[in-house]
Amino acid sequence: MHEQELITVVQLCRAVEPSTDFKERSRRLIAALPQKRPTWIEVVSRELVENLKFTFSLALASFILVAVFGGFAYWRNFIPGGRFTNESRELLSEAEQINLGIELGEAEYFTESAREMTLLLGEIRKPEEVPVDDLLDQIIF
Amino acid sequence: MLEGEENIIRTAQEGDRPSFDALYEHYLSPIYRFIYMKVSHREEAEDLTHEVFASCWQNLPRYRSKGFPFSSWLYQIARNKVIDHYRVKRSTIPLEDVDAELVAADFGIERALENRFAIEKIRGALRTLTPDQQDVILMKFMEDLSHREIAAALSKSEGAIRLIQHRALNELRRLIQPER
Repeated sequence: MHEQELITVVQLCRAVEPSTDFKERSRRLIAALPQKRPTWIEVVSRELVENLKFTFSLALASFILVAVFGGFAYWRNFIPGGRFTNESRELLSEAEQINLGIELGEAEYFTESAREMTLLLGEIRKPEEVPVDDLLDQIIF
Repeated sequence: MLEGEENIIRTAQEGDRPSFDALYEHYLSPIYRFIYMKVSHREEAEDLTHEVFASCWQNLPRYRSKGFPFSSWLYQIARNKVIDHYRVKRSTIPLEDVDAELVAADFGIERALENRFAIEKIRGALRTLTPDQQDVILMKFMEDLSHREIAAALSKSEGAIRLIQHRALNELRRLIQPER
Protein backbone atom coordinates (compact mmCIF):
# COMPACT_ATOMS: atom_id res chain seq x y z
CA MET A 1 0.00 0.00 0.00
CA HIS A 2 1.40 3.36 -0.97
CA GLU A 3 1.75 6.11 1.61
CA GLN A 4 -0.84 8.30 -0.10
CA GLU A 5 -3.31 5.44 -0.19
CA LEU A 6 -2.80 4.85 3.51
CA ILE A 7 -3.28 8.52 4.27
CA THR A 8 -6.53 8.51 2.27
CA VAL A 9 -7.79 5.61 4.37
CA VAL A 10 -6.91 7.49 7.58
CA GLN A 11 -8.69 10.56 6.22
CA LEU A 12 -11.88 8.51 5.88
CA CYS A 13 -12.09 8.78 9.65
CA ARG A 14 -13.02 12.44 9.22
CA ALA A 15 -16.54 11.17 8.65
CA VAL A 16 -16.77 10.39 12.37
CA GLU A 17 -18.85 13.09 14.09
CA PRO A 18 -20.33 13.40 17.57
CA SER A 19 -24.10 13.05 17.78
CA THR A 20 -26.18 16.23 17.97
CA ASP A 21 -27.75 14.99 21.18
CA PHE A 22 -24.36 14.65 22.87
CA LYS A 23 -23.26 18.02 21.54
CA GLU A 24 -26.17 19.87 23.11
CA ARG A 25 -26.17 17.89 26.35
CA SER A 26 -22.46 18.48 26.90
CA ARG A 27 -22.76 22.19 26.08
CA ARG A 28 -25.56 22.62 28.64
CA LEU A 29 -23.59 20.83 31.34
CA ILE A 30 -20.49 22.90 30.69
CA ALA A 31 -22.50 26.13 30.79
CA ALA A 32 -23.49 25.28 34.36
CA LEU A 33 -19.87 25.03 35.48
CA PRO A 34 -18.07 28.00 37.06
CA GLN A 35 -14.75 29.19 35.68
CA LYS A 36 -11.68 28.86 37.87
CA ARG A 37 -10.19 32.35 38.24
CA PRO A 38 -6.47 32.47 38.99
CA THR A 39 -5.66 33.73 42.50
CA TRP A 40 -3.38 36.74 42.97
CA ILE A 41 -0.64 34.41 44.19
CA GLU A 42 -0.84 32.49 40.92
CA VAL A 43 -0.72 35.72 38.91
CA VAL A 44 2.25 37.08 40.84
CA SER A 45 4.15 33.79 40.78
CA ARG A 46 3.54 33.44 37.05
CA GLU A 47 4.92 36.94 36.43
CA LEU A 48 7.85 36.17 38.68
CA VAL A 49 8.62 32.96 36.85
CA GLU A 50 8.42 34.76 33.49
CA ASN A 51 10.84 37.45 34.71
CA LEU A 52 13.17 34.88 36.19
CA LYS A 53 13.13 32.95 32.94
CA PHE A 54 14.18 36.08 31.06
CA THR A 55 16.90 36.95 33.55
CA PHE A 56 18.17 33.40 33.61
CA SER A 57 18.30 33.14 29.83
CA LEU A 58 20.19 36.43 29.67
CA ALA A 59 22.68 35.25 32.29
CA LEU A 60 23.07 31.93 30.52
CA ALA A 61 23.71 33.64 27.19
CA SER A 62 26.38 35.86 28.77
CA PHE A 63 28.00 32.88 30.46
CA ILE A 64 28.06 30.95 27.19
CA LEU A 65 29.66 33.91 25.41
CA VAL A 66 32.35 34.24 28.07
CA ALA A 67 32.91 30.49 28.10
CA VAL A 68 33.18 30.31 24.32
CA PHE A 69 35.63 33.19 23.93
CA GLY A 70 37.54 32.38 27.10
CA GLY A 71 37.71 28.74 26.13
CA PHE A 72 38.88 29.63 22.66
CA ALA A 73 41.70 31.77 24.02
CA TYR A 74 42.69 29.01 26.44
CA TRP A 75 42.60 26.16 23.96
CA ARG A 76 44.59 28.18 21.46
CA ASN A 77 47.61 27.37 23.66
CA PHE A 78 47.22 23.69 22.91
CA ILE A 79 46.01 23.43 19.35
CA PRO A 80 48.67 22.81 16.66
CA GLY A 81 49.49 26.07 14.93
CA GLY A 82 48.26 27.94 17.97
CA ARG A 83 50.20 30.84 19.38
CA PHE A 84 51.97 28.97 22.16
CA THR A 85 53.14 25.59 20.93
CA ASN A 86 56.35 24.27 22.47
CA GLU A 87 58.31 25.15 19.38
CA SER A 88 56.99 28.66 19.20
CA ARG A 89 57.59 29.11 22.91
CA GLU A 90 61.27 28.27 22.42
CA LEU A 91 61.49 30.65 19.51
CA LEU A 92 59.84 33.36 21.50
CA SER A 93 62.17 32.99 24.47
CA GLU A 94 65.16 32.86 22.11
CA ALA A 95 64.00 36.04 20.44
CA GLU A 96 63.57 37.71 23.78
CA GLN A 97 67.10 36.72 24.79
CA ILE A 98 68.52 38.07 21.53
CA ASN A 99 66.79 41.36 21.98
CA LEU A 100 68.07 41.60 25.53
CA GLY A 101 71.65 40.85 24.33
CA ILE A 102 71.43 43.57 21.73
CA GLU A 103 70.15 46.04 24.25
CA LEU A 104 72.91 45.21 26.77
CA GLY A 105 75.55 45.34 24.02
CA GLU A 106 74.31 48.71 22.91
CA ALA A 107 74.36 50.01 26.44
CA GLU A 108 77.92 48.77 26.90
CA TYR A 109 78.97 50.33 23.61
CA PHE A 110 77.46 53.66 24.50
CA THR A 111 79.19 53.67 27.87
CA GLU A 112 82.56 52.87 26.29
CA SER A 113 82.19 55.34 23.47
CA ALA A 114 81.05 58.07 25.83
CA ARG A 115 84.14 57.57 27.95
CA GLU A 116 86.39 57.66 24.89
CA MET A 117 84.66 60.74 23.57
CA THR A 118 85.21 62.55 26.86
CA LEU A 119 88.89 61.75 26.80
CA LEU A 120 89.24 62.85 23.19
CA LEU A 121 87.42 66.06 23.81
CA GLY A 122 89.65 66.67 26.78
CA GLU A 123 92.70 66.21 24.66
CA ILE A 124 91.38 68.40 21.90
CA ARG A 125 90.48 71.11 24.36
CA LYS A 126 94.01 71.15 26.07
CA PRO A 127 96.01 73.08 23.42
CA GLU A 128 93.26 75.55 23.07
CA GLU A 129 93.39 76.33 26.74
CA VAL A 130 95.92 79.17 26.20
CA PRO A 131 94.75 82.26 27.99
CA VAL A 132 93.20 84.85 25.72
CA ASP A 133 95.44 87.63 27.10
CA ASP A 134 98.58 85.74 26.05
CA LEU A 135 97.27 85.28 22.57
CA LEU A 136 96.44 88.96 22.31
CA ASP A 137 99.92 89.81 23.51
CA GLN A 138 101.39 87.59 20.78
CA ILE A 139 99.36 89.29 18.11
CA ILE A 140 99.99 92.82 19.27
CA PHE A 141 103.62 92.52 20.05
CA MET B 1 -7.98 28.07 13.18
CA LEU B 2 -11.09 30.09 13.94
CA GLU B 3 -11.31 33.58 12.46
CA GLY B 4 -10.52 36.20 15.10
CA GLU B 5 -9.64 33.40 17.49
CA GLU B 6 -7.42 35.49 19.74
CA ASN B 7 -10.26 37.89 20.51
CA ILE B 8 -12.74 35.07 20.98
CA ILE B 9 -10.39 33.38 23.44
CA ARG B 10 -9.84 36.66 25.32
CA THR B 11 -13.58 37.24 25.77
CA ALA B 12 -14.16 33.59 26.66
CA GLN B 13 -11.47 33.95 29.32
CA GLU B 14 -13.51 36.76 30.81
CA GLY B 15 -16.47 34.39 31.06
CA ASP B 16 -18.33 35.20 27.84
CA ARG B 17 -20.48 32.14 27.00
CA PRO B 18 -21.13 32.86 23.28
CA SER B 19 -17.38 33.13 22.71
CA PHE B 20 -16.84 29.79 24.36
CA ASP B 21 -19.69 28.34 22.30
CA ALA B 22 -17.88 29.45 19.14
CA LEU B 23 -14.74 27.64 20.28
CA TYR B 24 -16.80 24.60 21.29
CA GLU B 25 -18.53 24.43 17.88
CA HIS B 26 -15.26 24.73 16.03
CA TYR B 27 -13.19 22.24 18.00
CA LEU B 28 -15.73 19.68 19.20
CA SER B 29 -15.61 17.40 16.15
CA PRO B 30 -11.81 17.17 15.78
CA ILE B 31 -11.35 16.56 19.50
CA TYR B 32 -14.15 13.98 19.55
CA ARG B 33 -12.65 12.16 16.53
CA PHE B 34 -9.20 12.24 18.10
CA ILE B 35 -10.53 10.63 21.29
CA TYR B 36 -12.90 8.26 19.50
CA MET B 37 -10.04 6.72 17.52
CA LYS B 38 -8.14 6.04 20.72
CA VAL B 39 -10.85 4.52 22.92
CA SER B 40 -13.03 1.49 22.42
CA HIS B 41 -16.59 2.81 22.86
CA ARG B 42 -18.55 5.78 21.60
CA GLU B 43 -19.79 6.50 25.13
CA GLU B 44 -16.25 6.66 26.41
CA ALA B 45 -15.33 9.05 23.62
CA GLU B 46 -18.30 11.25 24.51
CA ASP B 47 -17.50 11.28 28.21
CA LEU B 48 -13.87 12.13 27.61
CA THR B 49 -14.73 14.81 25.05
CA HIS B 50 -17.11 16.37 27.55
CA GLU B 51 -14.38 16.31 30.20
CA VAL B 52 -11.96 17.99 27.80
CA PHE B 53 -14.30 20.90 27.09
CA ALA B 54 -15.39 21.20 30.72
CA SER B 55 -11.74 21.42 31.73
CA CYS B 56 -11.11 23.88 28.92
CA TRP B 57 -13.95 26.17 30.09
CA GLN B 58 -12.91 26.02 33.72
CA ASN B 59 -9.22 26.61 33.10
CA LEU B 60 -9.58 29.10 30.27
CA PRO B 61 -8.76 32.13 32.47
CA ARG B 62 -5.40 30.50 33.20
CA TYR B 63 -4.66 29.80 29.54
CA ARG B 64 -1.77 31.64 27.88
CA SER B 65 -1.04 31.15 24.20
CA LYS B 66 2.81 31.17 24.40
CA GLY B 67 2.88 31.41 20.60
CA PHE B 68 1.16 28.08 19.99
CA PRO B 69 -2.33 27.64 18.56
CA PHE B 70 -5.27 27.09 20.88
CA SER B 71 -5.87 23.66 19.30
CA SER B 72 -2.51 22.45 20.66
CA TRP B 73 -3.72 23.18 24.18
CA LEU B 74 -6.98 21.34 23.58
CA TYR B 75 -5.20 18.31 22.12
CA GLN B 76 -2.89 18.34 25.11
CA ILE B 77 -5.89 18.18 27.46
CA ALA B 78 -7.50 15.45 25.32
CA ARG B 79 -4.34 13.42 25.30
CA ASN B 80 -3.99 13.64 29.08
CA LYS B 81 -7.64 12.64 29.55
CA VAL B 82 -7.14 9.55 27.38
CA ILE B 83 -3.97 8.63 29.28
CA ASP B 84 -5.80 9.03 32.61
CA HIS B 85 -8.70 6.99 31.23
CA TYR B 86 -6.42 4.07 30.37
CA ARG B 87 -4.57 4.40 33.64
CA VAL B 88 -7.81 3.90 35.56
CA LYS B 89 -9.39 1.35 33.27
CA ARG B 90 -7.46 -0.98 31.02
CA SER B 91 -9.80 -1.44 28.09
CA THR B 92 -9.89 -4.44 25.83
CA ILE B 93 -9.70 -3.86 22.12
CA PRO B 94 -12.83 -5.21 20.53
CA LEU B 95 -13.60 -4.30 16.96
CA GLU B 96 -17.05 -3.07 17.90
CA ASP B 97 -19.27 -1.42 15.36
CA VAL B 98 -19.29 2.23 14.63
CA ASP B 99 -22.72 3.78 14.78
CA ALA B 100 -24.13 3.86 11.31
CA GLU B 101 -25.31 7.46 11.56
CA LEU B 102 -21.77 8.58 12.32
CA VAL B 103 -20.50 7.70 8.89
CA ALA B 104 -23.61 7.41 6.79
CA ALA B 105 -24.46 11.09 6.69
CA ASP B 106 -22.91 11.90 3.33
CA PHE B 107 -22.71 8.47 1.75
CA GLY B 108 -24.98 5.75 0.40
CA ILE B 109 -25.46 2.60 2.50
CA GLU B 110 -22.93 0.59 0.50
CA ARG B 111 -20.35 3.33 0.70
CA ALA B 112 -21.11 3.84 4.38
CA LEU B 113 -20.50 0.15 5.05
CA GLU B 114 -17.22 0.33 3.17
CA ASN B 115 -16.21 3.33 5.19
CA ARG B 116 -17.26 1.67 8.43
CA PHE B 117 -15.07 -1.26 7.57
CA ALA B 118 -12.14 0.99 6.63
CA ILE B 119 -12.52 3.04 9.80
CA GLU B 120 -12.65 -0.05 11.96
CA LYS B 121 -9.60 -1.45 10.25
CA ILE B 122 -7.70 1.76 10.84
CA ARG B 123 -8.88 1.94 14.46
CA GLY B 124 -7.72 -1.61 15.07
CA ALA B 125 -4.35 -0.94 13.47
CA LEU B 126 -3.95 2.40 15.25
CA ARG B 127 -4.41 0.83 18.65
CA THR B 128 -1.39 -1.38 18.11
CA LEU B 129 0.79 1.70 17.63
CA THR B 130 2.43 3.53 20.52
CA PRO B 131 0.36 6.41 22.00
CA ASP B 132 2.70 8.99 20.42
CA GLN B 133 2.44 7.34 17.01
CA GLN B 134 -1.37 7.27 17.29
CA ASP B 135 -1.45 10.95 18.22
CA VAL B 136 0.81 11.99 15.36
CA ILE B 137 -1.12 10.00 12.73
CA LEU B 138 -4.49 11.29 13.94
CA MET B 139 -3.41 14.90 14.28
CA LYS B 140 -1.48 14.99 11.02
CA PHE B 141 -3.67 13.05 8.63
CA MET B 142 -7.10 13.19 10.18
CA GLU B 143 -7.02 16.79 11.40
CA ASP B 144 -4.37 18.28 9.09
CA LEU B 145 -2.43 19.86 11.94
CA SER B 146 1.02 21.17 11.11
CA HIS B 147 4.13 19.54 12.56
CA ARG B 148 4.59 22.66 14.70
CA GLU B 149 1.11 22.34 16.21
CA ILE B 150 1.59 18.63 16.85
CA ALA B 151 4.99 19.29 18.41
CA ALA B 152 3.40 21.85 20.74
CA ALA B 153 0.58 19.48 21.71
CA LEU B 154 2.90 16.57 22.40
CA SER B 155 5.71 18.69 23.92
CA LYS B 156 8.25 17.36 21.44
CA SER B 157 10.45 18.84 18.74
CA GLU B 158 9.27 19.01 15.13
CA GLY B 159 12.09 16.67 14.13
CA ALA B 160 10.89 14.09 16.64
CA ILE B 161 7.35 14.40 15.28
CA ARG B 162 8.56 13.75 11.70
CA LEU B 163 10.44 10.69 12.89
CA ILE B 164 7.43 9.35 14.81
CA GLN B 165 5.23 9.97 11.75
CA HIS B 166 7.62 8.08 9.48
CA ARG B 167 7.77 5.11 11.82
CA ALA B 168 4.01 5.13 12.40
CA LEU B 169 3.24 5.13 8.68
CA ASN B 170 5.62 2.24 8.09
CA GLU B 171 4.03 0.32 10.94
CA LEU B 172 0.50 1.05 9.71
CA ARG B 173 1.42 -0.02 6.20
CA ARG B 174 2.80 -3.27 7.54
CA LEU B 175 -0.34 -3.87 9.61
CA ILE B 176 -2.86 -3.06 6.91
CA GLN B 177 -1.21 -4.49 3.81
CA PRO B 178 -1.53 -8.26 4.45
CA GLU B 179 -5.27 -7.96 4.80
CA ARG B 180 -5.75 -6.46 1.34
